[in-house]
Amino acid sequence: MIFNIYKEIPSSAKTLVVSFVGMKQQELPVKSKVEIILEADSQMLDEVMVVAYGTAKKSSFTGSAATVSGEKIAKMQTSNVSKSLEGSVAGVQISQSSGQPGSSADIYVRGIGSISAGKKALIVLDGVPYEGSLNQIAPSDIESMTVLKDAAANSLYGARGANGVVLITTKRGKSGKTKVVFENRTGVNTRGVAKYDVLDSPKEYYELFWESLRNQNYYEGKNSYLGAGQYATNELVQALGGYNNYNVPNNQLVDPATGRLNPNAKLLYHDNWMDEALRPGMRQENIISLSGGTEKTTFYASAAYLYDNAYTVNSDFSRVNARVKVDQEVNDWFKAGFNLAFTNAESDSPNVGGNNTSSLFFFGQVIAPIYPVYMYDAEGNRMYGSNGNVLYDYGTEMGKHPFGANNHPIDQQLNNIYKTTADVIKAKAYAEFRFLKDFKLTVNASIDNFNTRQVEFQTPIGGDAANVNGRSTVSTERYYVLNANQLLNWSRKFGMHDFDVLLGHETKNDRVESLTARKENFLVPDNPELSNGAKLSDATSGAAEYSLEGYFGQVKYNYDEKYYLSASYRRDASSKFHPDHRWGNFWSAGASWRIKQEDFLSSTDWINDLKIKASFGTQGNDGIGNNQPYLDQYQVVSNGGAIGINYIFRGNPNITWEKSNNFNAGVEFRFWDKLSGNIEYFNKTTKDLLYAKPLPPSMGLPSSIWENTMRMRNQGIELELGYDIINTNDLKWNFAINLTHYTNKLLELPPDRPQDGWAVGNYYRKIGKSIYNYYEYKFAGVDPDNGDALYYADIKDENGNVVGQKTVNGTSNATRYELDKSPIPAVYGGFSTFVDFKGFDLNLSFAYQIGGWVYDSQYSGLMHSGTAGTNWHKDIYNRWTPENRYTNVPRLQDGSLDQSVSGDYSLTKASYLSLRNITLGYTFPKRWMSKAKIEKLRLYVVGDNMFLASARKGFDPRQSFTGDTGYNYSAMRTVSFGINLEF
Amino acid sequence: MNITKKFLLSAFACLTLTSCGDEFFDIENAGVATKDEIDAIEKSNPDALIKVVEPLVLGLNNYLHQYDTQGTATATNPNHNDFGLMSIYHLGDVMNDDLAFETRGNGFFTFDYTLEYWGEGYVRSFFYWNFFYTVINQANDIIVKISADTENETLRAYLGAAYTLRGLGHFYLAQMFQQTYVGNEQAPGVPIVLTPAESEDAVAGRAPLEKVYAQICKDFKTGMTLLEGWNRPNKTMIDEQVAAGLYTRVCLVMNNWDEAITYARLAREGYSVYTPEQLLADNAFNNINASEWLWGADITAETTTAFASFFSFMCSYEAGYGGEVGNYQKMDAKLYDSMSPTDVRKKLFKHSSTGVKYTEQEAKFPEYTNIKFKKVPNWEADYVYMRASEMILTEAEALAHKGDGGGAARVLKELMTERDPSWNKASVTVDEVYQQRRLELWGEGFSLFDHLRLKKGIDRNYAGSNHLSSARYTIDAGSWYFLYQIPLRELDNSDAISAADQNPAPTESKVK
Repeated sequence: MIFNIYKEIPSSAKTLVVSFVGMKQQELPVKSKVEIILEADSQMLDEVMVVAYGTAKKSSFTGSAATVSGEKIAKMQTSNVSKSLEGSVAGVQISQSSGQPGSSADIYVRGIGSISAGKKALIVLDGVPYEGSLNQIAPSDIESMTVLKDAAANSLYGARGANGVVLITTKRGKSGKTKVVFENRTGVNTRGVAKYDVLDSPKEYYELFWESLRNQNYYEGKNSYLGAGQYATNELVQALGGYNNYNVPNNQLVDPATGRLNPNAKLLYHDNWMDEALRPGMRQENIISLSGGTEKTTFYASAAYLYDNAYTVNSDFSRVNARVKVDQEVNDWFKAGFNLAFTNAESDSPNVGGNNTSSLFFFGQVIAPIYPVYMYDAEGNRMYGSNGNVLYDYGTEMGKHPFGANNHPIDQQLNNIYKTTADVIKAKAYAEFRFLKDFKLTVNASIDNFNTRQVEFQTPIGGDAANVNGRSTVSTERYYVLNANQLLNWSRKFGMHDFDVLLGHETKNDRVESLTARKENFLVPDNPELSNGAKLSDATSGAAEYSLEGYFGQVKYNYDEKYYLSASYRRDASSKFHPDHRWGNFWSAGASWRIKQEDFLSSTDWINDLKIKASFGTQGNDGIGNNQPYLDQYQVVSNGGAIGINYIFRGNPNITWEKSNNFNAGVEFRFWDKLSGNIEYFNKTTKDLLYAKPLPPSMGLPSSIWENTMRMRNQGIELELGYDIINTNDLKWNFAINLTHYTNKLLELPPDRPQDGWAVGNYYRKIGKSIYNYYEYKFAGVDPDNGDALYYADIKDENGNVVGQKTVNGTSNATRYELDKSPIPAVYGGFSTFVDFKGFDLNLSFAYQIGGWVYDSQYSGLMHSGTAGTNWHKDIYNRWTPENRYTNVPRLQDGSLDQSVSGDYSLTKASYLSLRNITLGYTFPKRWMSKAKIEKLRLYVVGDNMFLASARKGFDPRQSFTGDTGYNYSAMRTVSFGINLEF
Repeated sequence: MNITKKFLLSAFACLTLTSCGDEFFDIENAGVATKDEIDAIEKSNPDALIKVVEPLVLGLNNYLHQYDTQGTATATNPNHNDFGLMSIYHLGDVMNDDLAFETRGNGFFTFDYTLEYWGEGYVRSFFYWNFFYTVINQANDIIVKISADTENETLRAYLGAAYTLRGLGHFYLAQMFQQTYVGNEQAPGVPIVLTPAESEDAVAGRAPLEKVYAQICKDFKTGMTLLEGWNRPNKTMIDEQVAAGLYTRVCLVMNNWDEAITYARLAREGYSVYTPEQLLADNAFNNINASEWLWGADITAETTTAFASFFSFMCSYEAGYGGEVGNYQKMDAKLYDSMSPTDVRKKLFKHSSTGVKYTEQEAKFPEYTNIKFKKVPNWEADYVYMRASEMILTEAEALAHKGDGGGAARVLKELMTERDPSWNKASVTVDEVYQQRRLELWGEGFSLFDHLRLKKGIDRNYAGSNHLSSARYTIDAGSWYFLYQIPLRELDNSDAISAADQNPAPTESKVK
């Protein structure tokens, strides 16, 4: 390229310095004609990243942080931004317990930070801690999300940054021509995680249940084998609640000698609950944003609408977002701006998840295939109501459901109303003053106001509130958050010495007010408002506040942009602690060395960048779910109008901050212009853990008391690698992988508990083991002689010493053992690949975990030994029978607790691989678009949560962090078609 | 920028960095009443003690019929079988042969019926232990606040009620975690939990039954003395007669017949037995104002626990587990058939032999289904904890044990004239009194506890049995199936009780 540059150059000038972003800076002698050949500077573009209370250049940052760009977030079409972190950042684990659109995932950084107190990362939105739900932030408004992982990075949030900090920054305007971006996505939601392989055949169910009855009568009733068979044949239908799906009499349904269904029986009806309840839902998203400005004024405005309809009825989420952001440089010493956002989010979230019979996911998967959804007559024909309406079988008319009678999750889901409406206003303003050349004072203030109203209506038509003619609970909550901080910044360069000093003060004040009321006996069957109800059953209201104040300071120094040092100190007080224990002091120190900048490496071409860093610091955590844990608390109960009080919380005046010491060391590098990466080692030791210590039940309720006790360590390594396989103008292909490995160990136990360990529920607290160290009965297989479920038990001599081990039937006499297993994985992380070729782009992102053990309680619930009405997993085909003696599935026996599988039977490897996102897009060539004055037009297809491979079909180990799963609302798979238009 | 501006800006910088002061942390915490606030009420003036004690007493009364007394329920794991004292009464009835299940049930009370819930790791033993120890600890919280020589009549009565409930708590615990008192006085019982002032008598580990019962009697006697002469405002409160009536239960277990007689008479003074019309009336067993009731819980719209309530399991007319869901609670066939044809109590159960014309709903009930506990709309049926008939039966049984068959028959006749016009005995044996006790107090929480003290086993397996086919057990008296092991949570967290102190596990077959 040839440029003709006409510019007056002073005659004294000798050297011309040419620089351009991304290119090596050059110095050339001044001549009348200068040939300048620009060389790409293969040093990575030094990103500017958002950090605590400001920004920093990636190269100068001594802490550990990782950023996910807004672009990447926008690719994932989730209504809640927390889910887009899955697999994207090393050290970050996400657990999502519900697929309800809009529901949040919990974010954990670098292991398990606490035992009983909060473990989740702190969310900071535009510099201010964010207490609301992440589903109220539009992903399209996000410029970047940075996760701060070590002490140097988040010590300035010291007070509550012990579990990591996630900084979310919204987009701002750029001066220049006004840019308009429009995006539309239309797609389909379906169930993302397959269901368990349960029986779907009434014939099989009758035969298996007959067998469990026969076995119960033979092994317990001491009947003869044939006599027990006759007993089972006679009792079968009655035990199952009177449901006979076939056209033969009840006592001829199953042959007493063979246990097989009568071959002449004809099936009259059969419904599949999950098929009836699930259907694909639609997802629709529209986003428009404007940004632009002049040199002095920049603005960003956006509006978005999302409608996310889940794959089951009456479960959806819709959201309207609007945001305006203006930054104004008033003059050379005063700059100000504001950021106003409004969100209205409405969700219909029926009671679909959870282990109760009103929950579709529980009921629909657990109910045996012989129970119909609809009402049928004796000939097997559908029955309809007097005006042709559909009649559902609630399990009380056609027969009696042995479990879940008087419930019909589908009908209830259609007629119950569970609606939440949230109106959120977030208003932020700041002013920046520059004075005395090097000083900058910033004053920030923000107010977030969340107004939520929730209506829970149980229909009078059927189910839990049928006998009170409908029940409705309405609650409102106002959550008001005020944050203010003042930052004083001084920076100056003396030759090679560069100083940056920050002093700050922050206050936070939250207030929650709530009101709940409930009525029964409703006139109009679908009007949930209390004015439609006649009988008041309860009304209550409450208010609570939380205050935090902190002072902090930070000094950053670098020499020649090669050697960096930083130190910070923060002092915080939380209203949660007694005045004598209120204040906590937290500090950090960090250093880094950009080795590449040294002379001895300047000519080593294959090393493009090399930096090592280390940091150490302390942080605090006050995340107890109680506002004044240092006081005993009582609750008022009504005794026919007279005041009664119950003791509900044991106070501990010595409660104070949980403290953690955090060490981080790492290497950042880029080699051969292709491979870039980051390896870090972290060691986080938490002491004075906020722990709800269980008390012996002979002390009565409350059953625990909060204490600061114990020491725990999370230690691990993180690896992030990116490899540019091909990087030319036409074709780009890169691959990235991140991997985290960590261990969690208890280092110290409370002094008043046995020092060699003691059991707390299903875990055994022991020095050197993790806090989720499973302590369980050990399944020992099945006795080949009779199919007994065996568990290990200790043999003890008269003095109580363990001298051997035996097996026993059932857990009542079994011994619990430390299993040396925990839910903590060996490694977890994600990998992705991106291809860009002639306008086409393809992106694949995976998340994975190897190792860890989680209870698959849904599976063990489906491998019962015979519970009337409950379905079986197809693995039951392999149960013990006299013909199939060598197996690990015990003998069926109706209602036997001893034969039920428990203990470590359902402990399953939690390894998984999930395809999080696949995007295929095409960007139309610029030269076509410029004719229509369009900057960019991209069409794409995107799929989220495309598939999950785990140890067992239907098993989703991502649901929980502590090792148990339940019948939770399965995650959604969404496939959409989208248009992105910029002009 | 001139000097003034620079100065102003620097000053501004300093001002904004000032602190907020201590009031900033005086936060409102209005959802609960903190100890500081309650202490402030108490000290506000010398007569204000009652303003704090009365809520504690009423709170304890409320706890006796609260849902989820164990505090562990979650949306995914509700504890529908935990509604306080009536849960205790009901599990006792279910672990016996007088009450028969129609179906296996949803798991709530199923394993009690199949006598599988005795193990240390199961939630049932924890529920039982935790319920009564919470009652005991709440009673202790009241005892420490009131001085024994207080002049205030109401405070004295509250102190008496607290002692009574403490005695009651230890009593029910002792019955379920060790074999019956008589013959096992030195066997390890349960911890004795008292106020700090009484720490000499307290035992953190398993105190021998003798010591436990000594404390129980002492607490009851203290309680009754303090309650003397106090008129209670309503039947939800404990008065002297209620304490006496509860004490007779202790007397029966200890085989202390004389005191049983004395206190049974005291307890039922002024109460009349139901006439047959009253017995069959709609409100006989669900309304605290009914004439025979000595003590109960008044369930209202605010305190009702809907599906997790006694009536959900025992009322055949309701929408609950014992009603529409189908697990009808029936009287044992042999027991029912033993009633004479003129016994009015036959009509408290649905049976073709009564000749009653049943409603459409009742016609669907299986034979022997109880219709004793009738429905009250909106789940507001009250709970009966104690009624006058129990006192008559206690007195008669004690007299029979003493050998006074004639005296026993005279007392029993007070009840039988209102139950069976053809009953006319001059002398009765213990077994005959006991038979009437089973019939009269069916479903009111006595079955298992009577079996334990009378050292009786169960037999559900006879020709014509209407028990669930898979639960037709025959178990001898003294079996550990009828008792609980100490809950694991106590063993794990207490230094005074360890695995070595645990009760043995039953090993015999439940079926003969």
